Amino acid sequence: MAAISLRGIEKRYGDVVIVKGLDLEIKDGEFVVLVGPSGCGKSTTLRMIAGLETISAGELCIDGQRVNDVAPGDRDLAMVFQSYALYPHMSVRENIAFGLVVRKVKKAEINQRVDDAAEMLKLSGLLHRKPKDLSGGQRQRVAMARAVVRRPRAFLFDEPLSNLDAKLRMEVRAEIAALRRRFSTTTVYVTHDQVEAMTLADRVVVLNDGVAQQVGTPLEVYRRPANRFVATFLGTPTMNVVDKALLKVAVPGNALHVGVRPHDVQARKETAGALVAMRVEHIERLGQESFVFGRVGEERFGAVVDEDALGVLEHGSEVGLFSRADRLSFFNDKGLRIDA
Amino acid sequence: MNRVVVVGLLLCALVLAARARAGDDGAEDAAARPEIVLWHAYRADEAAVIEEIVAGINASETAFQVKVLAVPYDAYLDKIGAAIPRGRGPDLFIAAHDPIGDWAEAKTIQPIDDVVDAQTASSLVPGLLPAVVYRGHVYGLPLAFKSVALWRNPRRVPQAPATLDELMRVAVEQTNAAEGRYGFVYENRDVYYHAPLLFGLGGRLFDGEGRPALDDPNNVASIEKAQAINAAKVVPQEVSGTLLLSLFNEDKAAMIVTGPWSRGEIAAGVPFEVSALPDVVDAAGVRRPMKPLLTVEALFLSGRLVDPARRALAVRVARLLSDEARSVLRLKKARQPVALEKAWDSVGDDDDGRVQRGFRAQLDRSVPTPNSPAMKALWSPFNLALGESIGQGTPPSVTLAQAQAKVKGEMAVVEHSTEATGEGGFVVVVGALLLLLLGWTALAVRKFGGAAALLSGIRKNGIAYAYVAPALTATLVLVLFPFAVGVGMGFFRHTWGTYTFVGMENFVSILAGADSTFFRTLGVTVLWTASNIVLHVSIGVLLALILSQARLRFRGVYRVLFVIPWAMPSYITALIWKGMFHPEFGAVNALLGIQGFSWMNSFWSAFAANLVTNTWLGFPFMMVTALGGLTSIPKDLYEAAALDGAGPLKRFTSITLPLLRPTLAPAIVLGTVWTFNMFNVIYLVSGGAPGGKTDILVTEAFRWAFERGQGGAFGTAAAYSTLIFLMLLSYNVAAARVTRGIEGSK
Amino acid sequence: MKSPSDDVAGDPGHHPLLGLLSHAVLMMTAVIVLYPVLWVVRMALSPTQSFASGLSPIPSEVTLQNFRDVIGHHDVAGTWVFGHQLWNSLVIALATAVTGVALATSAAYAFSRFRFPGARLGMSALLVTQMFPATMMMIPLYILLDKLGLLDSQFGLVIVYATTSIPFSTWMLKGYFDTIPIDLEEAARMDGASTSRIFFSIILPLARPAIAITALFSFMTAWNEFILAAKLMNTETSYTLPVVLQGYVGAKSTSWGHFAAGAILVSLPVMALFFALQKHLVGGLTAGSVKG
Ligand SMILES: Nc1ncnc2c1ncn2[C@@H]1O[C@H](COP(=O)(O)OP(=O)(O)OP(=O)(O)O)[C@@H](O)[C@H]1O
Ligand SMILES: [Mg+2]
Repeated sequence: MAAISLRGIEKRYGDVVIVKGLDLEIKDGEFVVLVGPSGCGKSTTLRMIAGLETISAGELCIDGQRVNDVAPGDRDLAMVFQSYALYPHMSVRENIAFGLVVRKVKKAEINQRVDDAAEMLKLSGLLHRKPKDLSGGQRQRVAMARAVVRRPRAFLFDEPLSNLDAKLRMEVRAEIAALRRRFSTTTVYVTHDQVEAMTLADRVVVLNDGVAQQVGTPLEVYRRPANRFVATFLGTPTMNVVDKALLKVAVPGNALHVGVRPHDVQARKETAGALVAMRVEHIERLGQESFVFGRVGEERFGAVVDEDALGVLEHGSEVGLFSRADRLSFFNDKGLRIDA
Repeated sequence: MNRVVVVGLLLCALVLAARARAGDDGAEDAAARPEIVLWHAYRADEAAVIEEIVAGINASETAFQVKVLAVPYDAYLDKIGAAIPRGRGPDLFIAAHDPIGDWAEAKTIQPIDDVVDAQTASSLVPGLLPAVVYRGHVYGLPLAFKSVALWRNPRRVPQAPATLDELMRVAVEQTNAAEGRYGFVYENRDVYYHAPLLFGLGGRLFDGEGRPALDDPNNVASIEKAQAINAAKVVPQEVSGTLLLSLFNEDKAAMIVTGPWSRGEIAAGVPFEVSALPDVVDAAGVRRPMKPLLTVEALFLSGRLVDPARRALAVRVARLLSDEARSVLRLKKARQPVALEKAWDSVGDDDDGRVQRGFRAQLDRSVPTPNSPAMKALWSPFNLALGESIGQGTPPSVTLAQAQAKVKGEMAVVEHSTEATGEGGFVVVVGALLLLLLGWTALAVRKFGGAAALLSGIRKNGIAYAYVAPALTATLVLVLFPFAVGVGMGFFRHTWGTYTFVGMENFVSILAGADSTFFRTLGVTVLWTASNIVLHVSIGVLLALILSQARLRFRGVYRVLFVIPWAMPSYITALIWKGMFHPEFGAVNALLGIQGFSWMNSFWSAFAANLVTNTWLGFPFMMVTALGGLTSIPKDLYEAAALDGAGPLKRFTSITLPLLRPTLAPAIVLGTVWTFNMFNVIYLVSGGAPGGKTDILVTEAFRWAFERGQGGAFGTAAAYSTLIFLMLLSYNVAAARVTRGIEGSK
Repeated sequence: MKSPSDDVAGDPGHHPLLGLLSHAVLMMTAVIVLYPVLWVVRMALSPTQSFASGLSPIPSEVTLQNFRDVIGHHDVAGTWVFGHQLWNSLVIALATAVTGVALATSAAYAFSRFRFPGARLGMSALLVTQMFPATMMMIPLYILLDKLGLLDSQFGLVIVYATTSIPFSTWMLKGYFDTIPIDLEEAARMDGASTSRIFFSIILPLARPAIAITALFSFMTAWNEFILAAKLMNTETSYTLPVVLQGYVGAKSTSWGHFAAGAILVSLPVMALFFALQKHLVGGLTAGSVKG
């Protein structure tokens, strides 16, 4: 178990700066998720922590010790790769045991630990198989078992679930959460899936273009996005952000734009007292809830609608949009959050 | 990792070094008793007898030891030429006399007039001494003599014919084409075997001043005679030494022309008699004996053997080897026609004795092979002329005129004299080339941003360089120096061990040569390379694809079967293929049902024969490489493509080929280079036939180095090699550009 | 031995006709491959030393005398010359294979995995060394080896052979290494494996096919070479087998029976080696390592 701190971490390839001065203190036992759009530098950051990528500038410390120049194997971290990277010529057992064999752990102990890890990840019956004879989910679990069995100071995950179908993804997500509870090992987890970010994280780091946009608990990041990027990046459907002039709302200071999540906007038939009125262009009925979409100004705008209460809406109906004032976010001309 | 490799290498080195030491143990012993080194190229009985004789000498002599080494004949002259000038050669060696001129000029051997004194000379069978005399000095101590004679199967030809006409009458009687039987078989496309007719009809190789005289009218007449014999069909087409003997062994050749060396190949129980070749009557009615070329096998003292004491020992060994008892031993056991007259007293009247006397009789009717250096230049053009006249029926006056012109032209190329700069100049040019290489490296370093940047780059990528260094250094060290010397030689003219700086002359004479041989040969080479690579790769990949199917039965067996052509020494298999292309006895014609079609008579068919042989030899390598490459292609890619609706062809072109590329590319690139420089198949199968048309650049370079000039036209050969190198280099640079371009645009 | 998954290039949706066709092609190739070889066998088994010709390669008389002569070659002192020569050939070819493959593997690994200045140049340099016709390099090479004191030494031969085989081996291995996902190495590094550990436990097993091919190639380079060996070696017991074979060829005559028997003996170890190596040529080694 370990605390990991990143101080002004940078990654350059020649003249291109991929990660631009990242600061992050990961507490012992904390589960931190790095999210961000593709190519923003998530994997690069994770790989710098792992030691697979050299650090161009800044300092990386694990438990207060500078590890910039420590070899990956000596950092005592375990990583689960997006591709799983299972050794194709080794059986599942050998795959899981490899890290222990390398570290010259005693045979009996290796067997014990491999069996434990396999049982935990429901791989006990598959230990003699080769990776090519496993399903995607099983391979994924082997990759996790390989990390778990080492009892490392921290786990690093790089989009471990991105190759799985939706249902499996949920199962494995639950497994990761369970693992997490069981070991409470420090974990850095890269994903671009917000559900994973929201459900797993103690803290979320939103990255864009090599810069941390916001660091906070899932709820903080969700409720109080630090800027327009974070606001629109997280949450489905995405947050509505429109010019302040379009809404009938009191705006603090120099705010220019107002953001509100569709979940926090109710569409009603009456328009009186509404933030704004909108013509329905599209309705999404998800069963549990329904969304209506239209345009406010030029921007697409979404809201929840309770059709049970309201009766069926049609395309072209005029609706009024209502929201609680504390659910509104305001952004200045630089896109930064302004608090009321 | 490198530690393990280094340790492994050290171990290997240690083992080898230890073994090398062990081999040297005898050296101390030798210091006490000087060791006289004797080389020979004998094999079978002759080698055994030499060994026996030397063992006897070693057992009885206390002052010295003789160390004998049998060198394969094909490597012999080359080895002597490389070893003696560097002091690594033998003290004395046994060889045929014909290179005496070259050796004497290059001081590979020394005059031994003192050894072959009047007494020794008079003890020899008459007629041998002229063969070992060059420019008034005796250079060799004759041990034995060899020439062809007439062999007949006494059941078919009881009496040796006295004239060629009589011989032809018998031969026609004994010929039966339907049964594949022939009356008089000799290698009628080879000057060596044609020589009896040539000299019998008054022909000559050189004029009175020692200049080549291939177009002598009597030479023309002799080839016309050979054409007549050929037209009588008593001799099969395209006779080779191997065909001749197998016909004789199968009782399908009544009379053959060959020498004592063939005795080992005569099958047990096949009766034969040997007698001198008959007389021949020319158009003017003059009757002369048919005189074959005579080869004298003699002992030579190394030109480097100067220490008088040591030389005296070597001379003693020479005397022992040629004394009466040992001559008799060689005559009886090795069945050598020996040079010592007295030894012949022991020849009895048995079968063996009759054969020996047959060869002895032929000696009196023979012409010593001229030992002048110019002789070497005649063989190949004369053979081409002979081959064309016999094969295609071209009038000999035409072919011989061409041959004469060719010899003159080649001599002009090698004889262009400029002022001599000697060995010093050679060192200068090689040095300059190495400097050039260094300069180029320096430029590359500057391009890299200077030495400092390079150094820091090296430090930063230390491991990478450490990994690459051993392989690269080893390869470059062993290649760079020979390469620089090879290129450097192109600017020199070589005559008997001395090099004269001639600037670009060699290149000019190649590129601007009147007959444009170079460009024609280049065209053939390119065609040769391209067609080979296409065939090797397509056959190799096809077989690999088939063999990588899991469901295929016996695929392990097939895989191993198909590497046999690669595994078996190509010398023998190439010759078997040559045999298979024989017009009358070859399997290819029998299979195709085209009896009598001569593959070597036209460029295209001879080229095809070479191509088929080389494809047979070359596809396994590509197959094995492709098999390895196929393993890196995941199967699911095919499934994915199949689901995408890609047909087998599409799957092959869009998955197999691109993914096979990383493994096949090096094989193809290097295969191209190797095929471009493929020497063996061309040399063994077509031998350049017809008329040198299927020669490629390397065989041409080889001919310059070893068949022409005074002690080898190494300058011209090196210039050829440099041109070959430049072409391959630019081809590969261009190919790399193109592939990079394709990859870039993707 | 045969599992459905070692099907490499096999297309899904196999047609039974394809199987028949495959066998037809293979049989035909086998006949073409074997026909000339049968002649060699015939010559080796026949009691005479003449070159066989004709149409049927079936020997009329069979004897093992040629093999006995070749194998049983002793010199007057009673030394088993053939044994020495076989041993030389084996030592030299194996040492060449080990040295060549080791050097090539390490170089190829660097060329494949590290980006460093001069990498492209280095690869080209290896290729360029193959382009100058060997005939013209012989004399300078002889001089060089003489200066290095490596004449008449097995070590000298091994070095020369290894350097001859290195260019192809390096190119081949580099191409193959490129197909091995780098993730695997990174995973191993995370597992704490050292560079050598990664190389021996991960890369080598996965590059088996390429290693098998390069080992075979290097072995063959040394095993079949005779021109240089004949030139450099100065005692009969230090000859290699191909030199012995060459020795059966004389100026105007050849002991074909001995030559053929020798040729068969020389090619047997290669075939055995290939038989041993060929199981490594089955495939899809990297399958299953990546993707879900
Ligand atoms: N060797 C390299 N040289 C130059 N640029 C690189 C190199 N490796 C990665 N990059 C760039 O760095 C950026 C960040 O890459 P990274 O793999 O960290 O993205 P990511 O956030 O993990 O994206 P994804 O979600 O798609 O995995 C990308 O724009 C990529 O193109
Ligand atoms: Mg990534």
